[in-house]
Amino acid sequence: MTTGLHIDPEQADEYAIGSLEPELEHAIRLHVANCRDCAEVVADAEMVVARLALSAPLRRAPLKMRDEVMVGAGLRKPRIVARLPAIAQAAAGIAAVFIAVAALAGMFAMRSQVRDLQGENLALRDRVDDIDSAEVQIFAIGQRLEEAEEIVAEQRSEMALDSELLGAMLSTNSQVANVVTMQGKSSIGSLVWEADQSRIWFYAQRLRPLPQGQTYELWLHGNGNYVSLGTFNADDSGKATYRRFVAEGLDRYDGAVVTIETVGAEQREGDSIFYAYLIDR
Amino acid sequence: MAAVAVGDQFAFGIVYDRYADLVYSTTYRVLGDAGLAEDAAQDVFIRIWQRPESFVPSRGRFLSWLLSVSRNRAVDEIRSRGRRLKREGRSLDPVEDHDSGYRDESSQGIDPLWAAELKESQVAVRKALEDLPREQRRVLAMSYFGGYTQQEIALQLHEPLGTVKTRVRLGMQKLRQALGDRT
Ligand SMILES: [Zn+2]
Repeated sequence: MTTGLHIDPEQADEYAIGSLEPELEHAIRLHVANCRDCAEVVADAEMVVARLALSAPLRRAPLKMRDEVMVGAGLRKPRIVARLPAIAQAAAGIAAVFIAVAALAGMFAMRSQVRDLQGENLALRDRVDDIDSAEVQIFAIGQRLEEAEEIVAEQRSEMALDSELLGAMLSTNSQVANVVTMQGKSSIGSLVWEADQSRIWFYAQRLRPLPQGQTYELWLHGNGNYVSLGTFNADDSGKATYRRFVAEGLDRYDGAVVTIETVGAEQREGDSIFYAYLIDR
Repeated sequence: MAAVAVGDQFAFGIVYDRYADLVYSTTYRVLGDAGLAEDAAQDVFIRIWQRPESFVPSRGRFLSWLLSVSRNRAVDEIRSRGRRLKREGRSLDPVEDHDSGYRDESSQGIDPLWAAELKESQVAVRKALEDLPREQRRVLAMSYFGGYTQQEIALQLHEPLGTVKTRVRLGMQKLRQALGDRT
């Protein structure tokens, strides 16, 4: 093997199988390191030869070899490394193996292939992310549905209340009083007395929201006394609807007022802001 | 950086589990001694870990490279010991060597596809070797697994060097044809 001579395939075969004398082998190795064409020829022969190793009877490597290799390779915590393949099996099976092998191959300068695999991995992870976010969206939709259902249920009960109120107002057994402001006498609602049911309905709108700690309270005046019929608050739209059973013994009233009281107060302290007067029917 | 290192260790662990049996089988095949085979196989893996750049992907598949490295490492061991290794009673002919037979005792761990693919390759190689004329198979095995040069083979077999050379060349050609482009 002298300079200027190249390696023919047959020589490459002899070299690859390791049958050449050390001097010739050395010369070829030097030439191949500097000649791309011959390197290809030799690589081809080496590929064929490498498969010969597969003809060796398969033997199981000693188990302790693994730890020895890990320690010998300078991996500080061989025990952890020893557990990793088990994790890989559990986690992702074949995919993990491919990625792991490719990751090691990345150490062997196959960076682009590794990037591809990592890209696929990322794409997979993105898809998982997509699915996760879809689940979150579905969850959010579910939440909104629940909210909507609550609202519908609320509205339904309000409607039921309203229709009952309407029924009460239309009943010939009812007395309907107009609820008006103390000053301007503008109507803000109705007070319905259902004599045969011993209950009253109170309905008002355009109520201003009260600060925390304050509440509206409805008082009925009868038999010379003011009797509280309970407190109430307006909803966001300024409406309030409620019904109350009237204590026994109170079979008539001659007036009603609404005051603003401190929550929890036992006695009437606030001034009247509305009062009710009977609508002549 | 810690994550990268952990990832590489992870990869190394998996590569080890995947190839340990093959590397060990190869070094054992050459050295015929469990202790020496283990030392050589360990050496191969530690070198992979420490000098991964020694694998040049353009020169073929990782498995082929790994097996070549394993075989070379083991043959170096033989040569450095000046053939003081006792390997009597062990034929180097892969077809005639029935001391262990084809023992499918390796886990080849992890995934069955890989194990199946590997077994297929092994069967193909063994078939290709079986189909070679005995003389050709013998010189190939003596070179590859025995680490003998053509001159050494000629001396051992009491054949002319030219005959040995021809057998090597013909054997390689037939092997290449039999194995096709499969790598
Ligand atoms: Zn050349």
